[in-house]
Amino acid sequence: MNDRCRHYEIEITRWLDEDLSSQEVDALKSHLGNCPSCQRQAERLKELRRDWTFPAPLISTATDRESILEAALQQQTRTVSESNPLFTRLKQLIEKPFFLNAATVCGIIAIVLVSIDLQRQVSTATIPADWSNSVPVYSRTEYESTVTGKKSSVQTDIELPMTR
Amino acid sequence: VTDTELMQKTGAGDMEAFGILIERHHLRVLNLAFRLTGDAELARDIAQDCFLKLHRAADRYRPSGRFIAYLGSITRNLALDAFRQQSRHRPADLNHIDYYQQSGIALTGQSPETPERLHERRQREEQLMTALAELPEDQRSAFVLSEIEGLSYSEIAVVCDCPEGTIASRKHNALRKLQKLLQSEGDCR
Repeated sequence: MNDRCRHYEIEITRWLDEDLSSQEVDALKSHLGNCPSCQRQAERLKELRRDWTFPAPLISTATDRESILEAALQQQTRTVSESNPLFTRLKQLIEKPFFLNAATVCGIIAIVLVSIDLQRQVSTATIPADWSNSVPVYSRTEYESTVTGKKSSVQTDIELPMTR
Repeated sequence: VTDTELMQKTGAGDMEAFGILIERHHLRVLNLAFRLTGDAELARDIAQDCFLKLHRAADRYRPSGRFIAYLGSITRNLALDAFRQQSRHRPADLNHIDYYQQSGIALTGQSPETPERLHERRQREEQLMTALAELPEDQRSAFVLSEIEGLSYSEIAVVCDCPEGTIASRKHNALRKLQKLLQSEGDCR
């Protein structure tokens, strides 16, 4: 087989695939008319292609198609959510271990503060609102005279808040 | 409705349009993947990935040729990726005789056939599939896309990202090899 025949062998394949221009077809036909070897090859290829069949060996099932559609739906939902910048920022933040630790610490602090506040509210709830006005302020001498019924000769400036 | 219109609707978020695209092309993509890989399970995975990729790219899709060529391009690239990931996987290692016994695999053909003719046809198909698996990947792609999918050389050139002359040469080499393989199988019987 010479180079010319090698060239025309590929041309035969292209001819069978209808990929040649009319000029190229004319040139090929002229070569085939003069070259029994290429003519035989053309006939063999034609015969080979006539013989084979190409069925679709795999069946496309409804389950296959539905699962693709479902996966695409999930993909779309994900894409829409991720296109929101706030969502993306939050997601990035949440994915960081630092954020989780900080969130836990903040949570504990919040619980402690709330419990302290509750405790304070409970303790102040038993005392009347005008507590500071209702409690008389005695000086030490007044207190002693109140307790003993006698007036003290020593005056002090110390004042003690006392409950009755 | 054309495929391009369906792609535009899909890009705008219309899942019904995407469902129609799946209904229309799933069988073709599935069998193209199967012929490129020779593996039924892998072909199903590739078909799914192909449509998910299509869905992701729908809003950027610009028609520049036949839609099936575009799908063929995605499918072939995914098949190549699968080959790279599973380097141990060789289509030629598979027992093609078992394909028709596997789940979800059946012969097409509407006309009633005698059992003898059906058997003969199955044998021819199995021979061809086995011979096809012997081809190098580039020749197999050129053959499958041209002979089975009916793409033109220029379309295959786009899919395979190489000149048309190379495709013609690959197809020619594939035909010669298949001719030899089928001839030798015929002699063995």
